[in-house]
Amino acid sequence: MSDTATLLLALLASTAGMGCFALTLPAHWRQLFAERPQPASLRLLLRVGGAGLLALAFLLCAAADPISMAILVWTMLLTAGAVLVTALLTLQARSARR
Amino acid sequence: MRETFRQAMLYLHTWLGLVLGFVLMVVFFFGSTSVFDREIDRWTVPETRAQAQPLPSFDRVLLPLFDHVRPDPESMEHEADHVEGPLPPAETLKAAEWWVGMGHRDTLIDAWVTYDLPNKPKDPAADHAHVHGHVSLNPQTGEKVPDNLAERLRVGSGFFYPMHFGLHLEWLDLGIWIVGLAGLAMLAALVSGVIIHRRLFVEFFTFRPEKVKLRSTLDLHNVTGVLALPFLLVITFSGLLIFAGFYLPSTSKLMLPLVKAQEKVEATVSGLPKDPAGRPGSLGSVDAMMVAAKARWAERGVPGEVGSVAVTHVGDENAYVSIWRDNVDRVATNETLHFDADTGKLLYEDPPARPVQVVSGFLYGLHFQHFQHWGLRWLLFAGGLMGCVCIATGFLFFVERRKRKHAEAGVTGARIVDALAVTAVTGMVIATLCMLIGNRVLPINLPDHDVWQKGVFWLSWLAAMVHAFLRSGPVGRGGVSMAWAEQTGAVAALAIAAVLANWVTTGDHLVKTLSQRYWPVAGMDLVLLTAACIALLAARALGRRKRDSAAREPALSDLEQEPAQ
Repeated sequence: MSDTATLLLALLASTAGMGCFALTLPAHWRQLFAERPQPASLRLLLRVGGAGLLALAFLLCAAADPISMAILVWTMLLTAGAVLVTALLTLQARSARR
Repeated sequence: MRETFRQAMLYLHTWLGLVLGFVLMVVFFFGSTSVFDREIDRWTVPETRAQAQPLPSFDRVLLPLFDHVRPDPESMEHEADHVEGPLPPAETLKAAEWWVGMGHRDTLIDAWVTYDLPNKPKDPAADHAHVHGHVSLNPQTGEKVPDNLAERLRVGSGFFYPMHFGLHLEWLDLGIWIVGLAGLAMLAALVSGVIIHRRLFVEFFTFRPEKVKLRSTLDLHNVTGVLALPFLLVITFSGLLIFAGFYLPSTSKLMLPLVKAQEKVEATVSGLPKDPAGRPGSLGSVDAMMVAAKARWAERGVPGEVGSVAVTHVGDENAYVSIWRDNVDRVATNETLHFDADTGKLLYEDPPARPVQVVSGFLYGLHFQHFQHWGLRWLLFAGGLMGCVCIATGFLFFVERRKRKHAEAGVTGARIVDALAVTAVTGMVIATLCMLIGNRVLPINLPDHDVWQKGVFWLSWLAAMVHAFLRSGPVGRGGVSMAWAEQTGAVAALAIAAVLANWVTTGDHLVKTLSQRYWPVAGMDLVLLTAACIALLAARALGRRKRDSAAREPALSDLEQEPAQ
């Protein structure tokens, strides 16, 4: 697999991981699932899954680049993933209002 | 007294940000452009639009180059103020050190020569005084670049980059001191910002553009600050670290005797002569040393190309050749090799980095960004721009929170801050774009071409400031300054004009540069067009907001209900 593809997967993993963390927050859970309650077990799963996905993103970064570069790329991809999740949630809120 | 710790931190955050935020805006914006400084150089000096190449043969191509180098008159003039007695004539000065190198993004090879001055320096801490000379070579033709092209202002690395760390305030190095103070303020603002953020985790992913302006501005300020926090902390800290020796000159002042002793020990350990012997020596084949260096790197598991070569104690028996690896694939490098100039024998090899060197190399490397990783370069560019958004929304929030109260009380604080914010945000972008356009349309044979470009930059910035103050009237009545929408529109127009100016003056339009995959110029044009699109969207949103707010001015009591943050 090319380094570019590996890094795109890392971005995807980071975004998915951040998405899991976003769903553990009551405001965003309500935004997507309205009044449906969030079971405690699901919340735990989202947290563990989110952390796992972020760790997976690091492994992908480390597969693509030497470790010193991978640390930087991963840190910036965490930010990029979180920004994407924020943007998606903002757009979802806008379309839900219409 | 501020009753709580959090309120004290809020006070610190607000006023530090207000006073030094304008500087930080400049530092972050031009820091972001400096990620692509060499690409801006290609765009602004079209004669250098070529593909980057590895360093050519030293013995055949580079060595004759040094015959062309003469001490630079400006360097002579500068040094004359710092030494005792009159300087000897330039042509009698003897070269002490040669340096030649090119990075993986450079299309010209730069060669520098350091000349020893016999004069005694006025600074008692300095051992020797030196002057420098410079020459550029075109690796495509193997010929020396004509002086008028070599000295042409490279806007990216020659103007935007020094702006980033020194604000072009060279008197007493004032700019570097101000930037350092602003960097320290940035660290304090980041830490205090985290402390005063009431819902850091709850609103980690929250941006609500539909809420009242006060709320949505604060959301954007928080979300850019929090999500880019690791980047902002590390980039600010490493920036301060790079200038630590300047701000805290312990190695050149307080601990000078210790440093001198350390230099002697290092010279003994490495075996690299600290001083010339005073007897003439010869220079063997540097090409052979470069081949040996590449073989050595391959052996150590870090194969790579030569980035730069230096000859110390030129023409002396003690001369040695240092060869650096082009640092394309990692953050820090530690693979420099030193050869005896005459025999080509390997004298010394940098030992594996110690832990402190690993950390400092990493922090320096991530700030200077010599690596080739394009994805990471774009991410760091975006990180810098997130910093800009965070600072700009900080100003907007300051103004938005106070303007009604100030309007009622009849004070002009919010109005002045708003006009300065316009100047520091859209005004700075306008000045940058005007300079790029000026670079393209000012005739090359104009005397002082570089001075004119700089003049365009400063004057257009000044004009944007005057405009911002003239149009800030509505802020004084609790409204929105007309300058935001007007200058945002100007940014869009100027960005498109810059792309067109590049097309008209060089014939390099996007279809051509994209089909040739000439990314330095295509990337510049694409970024300019993206900026134009964003500016158009922003101008439209500002216009809509103006109509909305005219229809429904939120009462002061609505705003009072917002959390005091």
